[in-house]
Amino acid sequence: MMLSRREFIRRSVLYALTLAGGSALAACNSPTPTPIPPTLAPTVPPSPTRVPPTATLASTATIAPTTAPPPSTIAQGAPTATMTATPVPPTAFDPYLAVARGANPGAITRAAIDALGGMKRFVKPGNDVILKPNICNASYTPEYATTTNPQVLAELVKMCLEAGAKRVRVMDQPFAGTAVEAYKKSGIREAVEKVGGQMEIMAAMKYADADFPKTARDLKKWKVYQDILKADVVINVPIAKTHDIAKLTLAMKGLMGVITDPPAFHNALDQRIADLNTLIKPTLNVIDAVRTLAVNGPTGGSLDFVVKTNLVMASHDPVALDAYATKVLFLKKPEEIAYIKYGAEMGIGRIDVDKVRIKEVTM
Amino acid sequence: MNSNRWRRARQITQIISTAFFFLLAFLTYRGFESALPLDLYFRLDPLAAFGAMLAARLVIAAMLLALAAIAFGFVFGRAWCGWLCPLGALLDWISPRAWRVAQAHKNWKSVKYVLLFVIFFAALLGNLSLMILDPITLLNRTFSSAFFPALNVVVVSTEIALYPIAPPLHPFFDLIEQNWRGTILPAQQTFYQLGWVLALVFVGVVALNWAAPRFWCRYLCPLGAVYALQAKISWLRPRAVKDCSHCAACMRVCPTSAIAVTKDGFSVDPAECVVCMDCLPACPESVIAFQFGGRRSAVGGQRSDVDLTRRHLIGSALASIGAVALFRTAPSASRDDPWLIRPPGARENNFLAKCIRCAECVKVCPTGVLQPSLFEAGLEGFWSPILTTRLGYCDYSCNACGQVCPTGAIPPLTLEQKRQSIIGTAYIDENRCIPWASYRPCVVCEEMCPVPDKAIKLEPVDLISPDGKKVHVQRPRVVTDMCIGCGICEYKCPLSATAAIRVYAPMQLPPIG
Repeated sequence: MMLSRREFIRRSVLYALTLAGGSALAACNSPTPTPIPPTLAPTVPPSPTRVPPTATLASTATIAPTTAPPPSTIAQGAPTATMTATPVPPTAFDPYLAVARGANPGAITRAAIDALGGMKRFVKPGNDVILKPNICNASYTPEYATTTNPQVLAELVKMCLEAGAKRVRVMDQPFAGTAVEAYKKSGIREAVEKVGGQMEIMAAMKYADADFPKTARDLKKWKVYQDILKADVVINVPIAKTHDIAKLTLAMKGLMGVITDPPAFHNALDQRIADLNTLIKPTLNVIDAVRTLAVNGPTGGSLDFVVKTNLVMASHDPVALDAYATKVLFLKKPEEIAYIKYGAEMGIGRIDVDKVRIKEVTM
Repeated sequence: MNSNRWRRARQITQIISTAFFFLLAFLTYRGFESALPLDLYFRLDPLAAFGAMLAARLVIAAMLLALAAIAFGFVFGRAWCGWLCPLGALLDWISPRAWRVAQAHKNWKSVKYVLLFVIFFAALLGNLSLMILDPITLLNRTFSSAFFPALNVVVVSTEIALYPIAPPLHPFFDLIEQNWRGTILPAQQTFYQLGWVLALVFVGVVALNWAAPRFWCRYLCPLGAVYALQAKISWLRPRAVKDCSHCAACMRVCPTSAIAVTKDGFSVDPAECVVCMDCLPACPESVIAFQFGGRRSAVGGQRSDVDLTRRHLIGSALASIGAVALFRTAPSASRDDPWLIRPPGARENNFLAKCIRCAECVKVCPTGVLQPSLFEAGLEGFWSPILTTRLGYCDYSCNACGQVCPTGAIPPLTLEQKRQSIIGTAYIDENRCIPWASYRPCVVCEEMCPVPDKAIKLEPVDLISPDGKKVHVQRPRVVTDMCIGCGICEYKCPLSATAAIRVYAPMQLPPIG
């Protein structure tokens, strides 16, 4: 059969397109991650709004110098990722950790932050802020204490905006159910959007391999949500829950919401939680213990499991905050919780919470 | 309206109808709230509607809308095929004009009737296996388990590839992700074991157009056969209003070879005519008109070929009886396949006699656990939905499948009822489970278990590992009486390949003691 030239060209183009389309599809399916330049660090300029670490005062003798977390950009060969946001340690006049008790979740949230010196210490005008609550599934309303209290979050959003934040985003990756449904069911979307915050659905495109600092003992590389690394301010807002392998879900463990494939994390969970905290260092951690899920966490599902504890606690130090919550809420020794112990050993924060200055406020 | 306008109107209607079909398909997501009936095309599908009612011996109220379609058929014949059917429209569009010189394969026309009657007799016997040939289910199933997940791969891969190198596109990507993710785009990538098979079947249906335009519609489509039977007595039909020069231009453009022009004159077979009206502008003498008036004939003949013989009828009845009888001698009729995990409430609901294999549930399932089956339910249940709990899980906060099922095969359970509905039972493989076999801590299954009191319990044990190390682990055990079979334990099990905890067909035992 003779083909006309026109027909020949037409068919050639068709075949070429089919082949190209086919290989494009095949490429899409490939499990190999899109190579991302490993040097995210140099491209992210350090935020000009950082509060410089301050020395401790002699007068607060009980406060030992803040265990400075080793700089995450250690030289020596392999570049590591860095996070723009960094914990803001207290000044001479601020407490290391603040706890507020009262019936109004919004009010005690504000009181706890104010006790630390106010949101202005953490959020500077023009900052891009991310709040990372725990929105683990779409199953229950806030009374079941499986997801962070919406009023606590709304108050934090308000305070960030009052401090001049350019934008406040709230996000988490549920482990069951869809983000759309979970944001709705938890009441968080409604509460956050009402006060001017934005809910963000965490998108696959924003996860990229991050190299962990040398201080991490087990994790070398994992996919991390890039916006968490890039935001000026990250505030971690977990809800206090039990959890059977790590025993408790608090601030340090809450950061598992910003990585991919959490189940694969579990083989050395405690160490990896501590390691995660060498890279992801929120500006501030706020534990919502308005209601505490006392048994059968993290999924819960019965009001009988919930204890109304009416507390909000905050600190820049996730280890100290977790240690304190462990003692106060769950009446356990912080050393029993392996990831808290590792976190202290690795210099991420302090486990000796009886030696830090704690400000308690009762409303 | 002149002849060209009618044709144009038909083309526009086809575009609108097809677009609307896909719009509804995209909108079939969990949490969709609107008055739009997402299953409209199934309710308007007399084959699916009355097939399911016949097989289940049940009047399905929502599907009585198909009576309107029946009435439509008696008035307009096969206009559904030419004007409204989304599959018909796709076949029209993909059919190359150059190949539109088909001859009628006269005997093949009967195939669709035979298929229809096989479906009818099988439905009488309570079987709906061949509902996979319904064009609406075929298209929807292909969309749900092949096209839609593949589309998401394209979207996500494009985003992942361009995100690091094209910052100007970020606002655009954000727009897509923040507004569409979890609604008209799937919340997560879903994976289908038979996706490529379904795609190939669809490609095959399209490829048949190379043999003849609308090959599927003229020879195979059982829904087309329903309308064809009605068209034999329908009110609207094409005719030649006066004698013509027998130039046969109409015959050449007819996509279903319904027109025959011989030296005796023009004649048309209304059972084949899809009322596309392509013949109107093609006729140089403007002789052809579509007129109401039933069999009353103008100049030119009304062919009504005998497409259906007594032999066909008896043959299809016997074929149905034989096939259904054979299905019931299959192992699946005696014992459940271990992986036969049905959507919530379906197992107790005479499921196979109601399920039209439309895959609405597959589309709406946010985790992709619902899949068209292979042989888990035997050949009889081919392409009916099952849960493949390594590829997804039945979310504790979701009851969407029962809400979208057009026939009620998956009952519309409330969330509370659905949470109580036992769809399977999980068992741990102690030979592979990490704490059991590898002496390392892991409790993902227990952590994920959504049953409030936890159907998986942890047993703390101190052990000496084979290489002599002292270890403390928590070993998971399933409380089978509490397990609902949602499968999130199996889905999240961190073992590679097969999980160490697997959901089997449900097993309920009397209480201990």
